[in-house]
Amino acid sequence: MKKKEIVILAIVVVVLAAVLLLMNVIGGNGQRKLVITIDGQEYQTITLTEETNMHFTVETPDGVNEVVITNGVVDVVSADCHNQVCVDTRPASKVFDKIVCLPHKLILEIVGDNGEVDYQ
Amino acid sequence: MKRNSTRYLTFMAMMITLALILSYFETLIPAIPIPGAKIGLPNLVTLLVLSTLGFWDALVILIIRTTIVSMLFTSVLSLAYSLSGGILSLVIMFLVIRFLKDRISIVATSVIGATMHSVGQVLCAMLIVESFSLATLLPILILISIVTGMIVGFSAKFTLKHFNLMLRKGTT
Repeated sequence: MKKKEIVILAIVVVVLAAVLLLMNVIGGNGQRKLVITIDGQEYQTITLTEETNMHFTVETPDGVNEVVITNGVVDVVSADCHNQVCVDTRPASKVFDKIVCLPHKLILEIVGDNGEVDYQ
Repeated sequence: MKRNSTRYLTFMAMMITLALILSYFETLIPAIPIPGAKIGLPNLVTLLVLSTLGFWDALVILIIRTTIVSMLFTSVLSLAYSLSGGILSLVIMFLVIRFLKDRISIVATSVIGATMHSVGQVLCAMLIVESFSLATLLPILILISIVTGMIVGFSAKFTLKHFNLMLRKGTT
């Protein structure tokens, strides 16, 4: 690797780290909601607090995902998809965190309650 | 190497086999807990063939490899992700090698390729799931790509010496 490349790479890494840090700061405070989307359609929204404890299954046209919320932390514990990426994904708790099950076209994402992360 | 020679066919078959083994080997490594993140070891083969033979040879290997992998280990849908990521990555790496030939190292090429692979996959996923919200995955994915791209890039750098030797031997 050449010196110039290392410098450029270092700059890119720093910028990305800054973006991640910024996302972390923005997502750190305020109300949080869990938005469940299947194939682009909103399926369910759950307000998350420290005391939210739930256990439910999401049924999509392509399969089933089992979701557990413990103290406001969302995790997919099992799914009948082939790649199990959603099960392996670390639990989501902060704004911008998301769990995606591409085979089922399912997205579980944490958004701020004031609607600042509204993409539609 | 002539495209219709036995030597070429054998070489391509060997490279596809190597890519398949690397794909399988990759499934044995515990998953990185970020959706879509992988080390991308099979890209080593793409990179080597791209830098020694050429774009079309690398493309053929890429398409055959992803098709077989999706039939063996995953589903048809994941073929769309692997192909969109793989082709974007290959095209960009080809352009980088073509226009910056001596001014860029193979490691940097690999990093760019890995990054583009992530970008292509996320774009494809955004199209299929019909949601822009997946874009927030990009910063962390690109960061991981830089690391995995370096791993693959250094592997390619050390392999390339022997690779060239193997290609030259007995070539007519």
